[in-house]
Amino acid sequence: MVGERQGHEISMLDATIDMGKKAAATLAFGTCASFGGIPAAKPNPTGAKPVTAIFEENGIKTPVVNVPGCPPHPDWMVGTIAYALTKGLPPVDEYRRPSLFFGSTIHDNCPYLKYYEEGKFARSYGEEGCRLKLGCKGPETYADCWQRQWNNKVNWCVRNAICIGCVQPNFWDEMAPLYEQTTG
Amino acid sequence: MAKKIVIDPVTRIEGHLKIEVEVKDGKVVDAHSTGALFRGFEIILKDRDPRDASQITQRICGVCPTSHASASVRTLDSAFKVKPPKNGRVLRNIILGSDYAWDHVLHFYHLAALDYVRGPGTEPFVPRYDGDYRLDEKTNQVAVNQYLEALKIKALGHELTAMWGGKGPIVQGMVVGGATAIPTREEISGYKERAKKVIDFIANTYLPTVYLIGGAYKDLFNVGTGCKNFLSYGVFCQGPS
Repeated sequence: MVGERQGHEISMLDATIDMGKKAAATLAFGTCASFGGIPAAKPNPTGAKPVTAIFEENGIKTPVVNVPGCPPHPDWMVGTIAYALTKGLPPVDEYRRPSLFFGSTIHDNCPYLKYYEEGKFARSYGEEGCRLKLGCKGPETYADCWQRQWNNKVNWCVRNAICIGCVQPNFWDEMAPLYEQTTG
Repeated sequence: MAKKIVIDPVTRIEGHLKIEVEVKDGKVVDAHSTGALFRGFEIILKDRDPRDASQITQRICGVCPTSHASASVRTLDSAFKVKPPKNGRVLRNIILGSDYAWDHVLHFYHLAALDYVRGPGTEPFVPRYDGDYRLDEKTNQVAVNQYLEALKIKALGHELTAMWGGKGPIVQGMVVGGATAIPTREEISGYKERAKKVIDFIANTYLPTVYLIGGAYKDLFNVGTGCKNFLSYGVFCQGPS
């Protein structure tokens, strides 16, 4: 429930359908809205669904742009809105993510890629090397965190620990266990 | 005849709360509270790799994610019978402490205070309930002026969290057995420089404003008190135990 209107409770589902129908375009911000995210993780106790699934089930034709991330980077949201307002809807990938921000993998651009190529893998945190064996999901994760970084470029996940793949449609269930190698 | 009062949503909180009360002859005769954004975290946690818990539980709330990470990793330490090294213990405390600094600022200025401080008559300050606004215009303006400054402090506080937590909100830097980072000299000086500004704001702007506003609502300290006994456990680990 997200509130009441004239004494009747309004669910998130009602609000999504109601507003989605009238919108020129819908921006699904965050991994929950884009792909289901954590509430939709097994066994999905509340039957959570992404915006695209709700639109499809209700015959809503409004275009959807997904800006995933858990949390999503503020630049991804502001950038997508600015693009939409000035140039129209941005080019998107097969998961409707703006290619501008989600165009290539963390791994292919990673500053630690040279370690991967040399076969030098970190076995514990703080060790120099590629983070793959610690569980890093960089090879299957499409985002520009390697370049954009977080919190005014103070840090980012892979430098600090590992990528857990938070922008991907199969985050959580197929990315788990997060701290085991599941890719590469 | 009992009168029913419904407040939904109660206020600006993560998780959405609804309160219904029945009032008869000036007294509450029945009351219901509803947490209306149930997601089922406990159910989702079942049958997963326990190490994933700190990443899952943090997603409960963007105001207090690190507290959940901290509780998860300390529980895992206990379950796996591991003791974090000093670096890990201290870094976890710093990451959690950084979150405390900005999340209290956020809670006050951007969530709680707007029930006492009348914001401007534009979005996002409206729509709002007809509040019990008691501050004189000048005092009210002082708090409103600090709203934007507090947002900058919140961003700076996130930078503190991110320095060894990886990013904020929701950190990567706490794991079972300790912390993931080895601080560099450059990071330590960057941290100190930012922390100085945050601490200065808390001591010289935030706390005086809390006391200033609190002074106008002294009677509320006596509303809704229960048995007045509270259990409080420290969350900052002081030594290897």
